[in-house]
Amino acid sequence: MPDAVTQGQLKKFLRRNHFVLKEKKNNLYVGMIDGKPRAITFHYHNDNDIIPTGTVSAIARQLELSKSDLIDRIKNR
Amino acid sequence: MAKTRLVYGAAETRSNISQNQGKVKFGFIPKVLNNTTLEASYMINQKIFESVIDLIKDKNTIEFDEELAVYTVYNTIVPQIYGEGATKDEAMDQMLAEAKEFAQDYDENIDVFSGIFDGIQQLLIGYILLNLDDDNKLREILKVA
Repeated sequence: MPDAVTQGQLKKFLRRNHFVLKEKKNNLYVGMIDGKPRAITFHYHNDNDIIPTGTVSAIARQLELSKSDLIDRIKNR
Repeated sequence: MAKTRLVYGAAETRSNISQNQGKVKFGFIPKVLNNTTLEASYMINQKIFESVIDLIKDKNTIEFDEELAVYTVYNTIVPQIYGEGATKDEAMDQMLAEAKEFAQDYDENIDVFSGIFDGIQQLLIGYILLNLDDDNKLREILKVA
């Protein structure tokens, strides 16, 4: 599954883009993508857990990116 | 035409608000302008508010991951609200729980979110917040069967 995204890969992508966890909550990240402020909800459990494709779509939409663009950015392609 | 006064005393302000509230119920929409920041706020009655809410065409997108056998359902207006589950119903129930948690996070960090979400998104989240204790209403708002 070349397009499969793990939770660890997404977490690294968020770190690269300077997203930070908002306060005590463990699933709400705030940061900037292409100079625009964005907020995403993402439940991290384990680096190796694969994120369901529908959830990748939801996260892409939260960042106002296409799913394929988000996957390319996560995988540094 | 009389020039609009921009500065009012406290008692006068209270009196004006009271007068406006009396007219709002009939559909009048008063505007309160901060002369320093130029930020404006408006007051609308329930009939107008619900009509505006009805104009929001929110719906859910459902995707199934065949490899993981997981359904994801997310709101198309506020995709930060989503749920996962082995069945569509399970995913929708989780989305409902997520919506409540997300709306509360939004409320606690509204200064941050006001710069991220557009007006339609804020209206939908605000409507969820107004109905946080009513699961049936939340299901109706989020189009969860």
